[in-house]
Amino acid sequence: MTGEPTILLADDDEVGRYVIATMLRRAGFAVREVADGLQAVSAVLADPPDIAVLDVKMPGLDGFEACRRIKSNEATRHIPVLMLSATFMETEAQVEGLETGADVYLTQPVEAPVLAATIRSMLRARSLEAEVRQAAREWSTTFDAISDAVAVLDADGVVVRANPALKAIFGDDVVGTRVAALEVGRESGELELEERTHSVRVDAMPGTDRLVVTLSDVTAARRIERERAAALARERTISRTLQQTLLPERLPSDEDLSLHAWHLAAERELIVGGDWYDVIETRDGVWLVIGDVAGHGVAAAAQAGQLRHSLRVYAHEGFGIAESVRRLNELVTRTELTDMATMCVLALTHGAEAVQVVSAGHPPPVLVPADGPPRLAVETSGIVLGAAGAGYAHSTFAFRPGDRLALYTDGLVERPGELIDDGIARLVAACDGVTGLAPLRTRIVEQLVGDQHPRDDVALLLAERSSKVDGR
Amino acid sequence: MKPPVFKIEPREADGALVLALSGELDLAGAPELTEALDAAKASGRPLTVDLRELEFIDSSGLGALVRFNNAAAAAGFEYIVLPGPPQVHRAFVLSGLDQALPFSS
Repeated sequence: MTGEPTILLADDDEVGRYVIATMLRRAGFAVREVADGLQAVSAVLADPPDIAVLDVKMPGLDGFEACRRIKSNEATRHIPVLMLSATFMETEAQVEGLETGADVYLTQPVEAPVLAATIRSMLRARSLEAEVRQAAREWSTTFDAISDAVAVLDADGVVVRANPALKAIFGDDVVGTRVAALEVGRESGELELEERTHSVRVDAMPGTDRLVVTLSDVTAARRIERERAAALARERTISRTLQQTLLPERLPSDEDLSLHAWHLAAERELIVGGDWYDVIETRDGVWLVIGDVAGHGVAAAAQAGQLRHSLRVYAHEGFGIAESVRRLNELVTRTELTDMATMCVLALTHGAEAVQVVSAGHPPPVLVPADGPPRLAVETSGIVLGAAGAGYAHSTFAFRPGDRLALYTDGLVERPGELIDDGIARLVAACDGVTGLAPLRTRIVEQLVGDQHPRDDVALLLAERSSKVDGR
Repeated sequence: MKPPVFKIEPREADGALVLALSGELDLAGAPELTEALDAAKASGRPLTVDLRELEFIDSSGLGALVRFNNAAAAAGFEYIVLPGPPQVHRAFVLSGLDQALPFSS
């Protein structure tokens, strides 16, 4: 409100009007005067004052009727009306005045301070009312503007208010009805409506038994989630398929040799690594193979698969292990199949204790003799696959009945900030004092891997030469 | 403690180029090393790869050196490698690369 508040004063009695107008002006109000009810109504309409003061008894349109007209017009109903009447009309006038919608009723003669205080109080009430009306307008605009669908439900679940977004879903005549879908959504937190997915939020309206139900369209977000899940599932299928090509479908078993294998990536189906193991049956025995292509992921796994299958081809063509590994190295350096790979191949011959071993930069196998402490089967290693022109020679060690072997990849023994030798020493120690292959596997995994997720892939191949067969 | 960042410092020594490697050499540093080695080979000057200040090397680092060694051998380019501290040199021994690369004694 700027400047002094404006008051429209209507009274046909000039003297009475002069007295009241003077009181009001002295109290700091701007006063516009008219002489009857009809003029009062048109003046209020033409230029709405802050307050209208109407004398009850006027010729033509009296104060009651003027008030009724002001209060029944949408444009002027918010203007407070003060009715002034003579004492002798008190009772009837008071009742009628209130019924016409007058805000305050005063009887003559009125004291100046009382009149001014009454009008100031009316102005304060009006200004509060204006604030409330403004807040309601803002809230209503917001309610209509938000893209989430919002409904206010009463205690019976009937929609008492709905914004345009909600009407767009449930129809324009949704107000006054119960919507079954909203009841369902309140239970589940999510709602499927004509191929759209909405998340449902329910808020209690404080101090009432009403609820505000908000539906947010999450269709796009859900679709992205579904696509992501599908892509992940595809990737896992590829990984799993690849991993399966890296590992033998079954481990051969005979009465002379028991085998047991463990593969971290295959077991946890999470990471694809370049680690693999293989058991190749040859004419006179078996080859035990373990290897590791540098790097991770699908590419490393694919390269490991190629190395594995190439070695099988060389074995079946009758090459020895040193020559086979040399050929693999040629393959790697000539075709740039991979930068680098390590592998260890052991050739076991049926009925013979002597085992040939070739290592291409791979950590040495652990030998667990039946009658002594575990130790490394060999101390020396050849060059990793990937160095052009490298040659390989085999060395030999004895693998007697009751002895066991552990072939592994470096993920088992490598820890950041320590020498790999320390990890190997830990592995050797872990192999002590446990019988059988499965218990040995359990012991090794417990002590070297534990519950934590290793940084690298791990493969483990265990073998035991049967003590029942006469190892001639 | 600041992480040991991988660094390559080129140095001149009697007309020869010395590439002094320090910090931790892994997948992140391997491409930079490959680039520096290839440039040194292209210059045709005698080269020394100094690993004495290297703190760590993984298979990616070994791979970069192996690849360079293959290319150098094919081109008839000669160079020498000064071995790193024990934990670094151990990686070369375990992978057999102590036999394949031209380490100076």
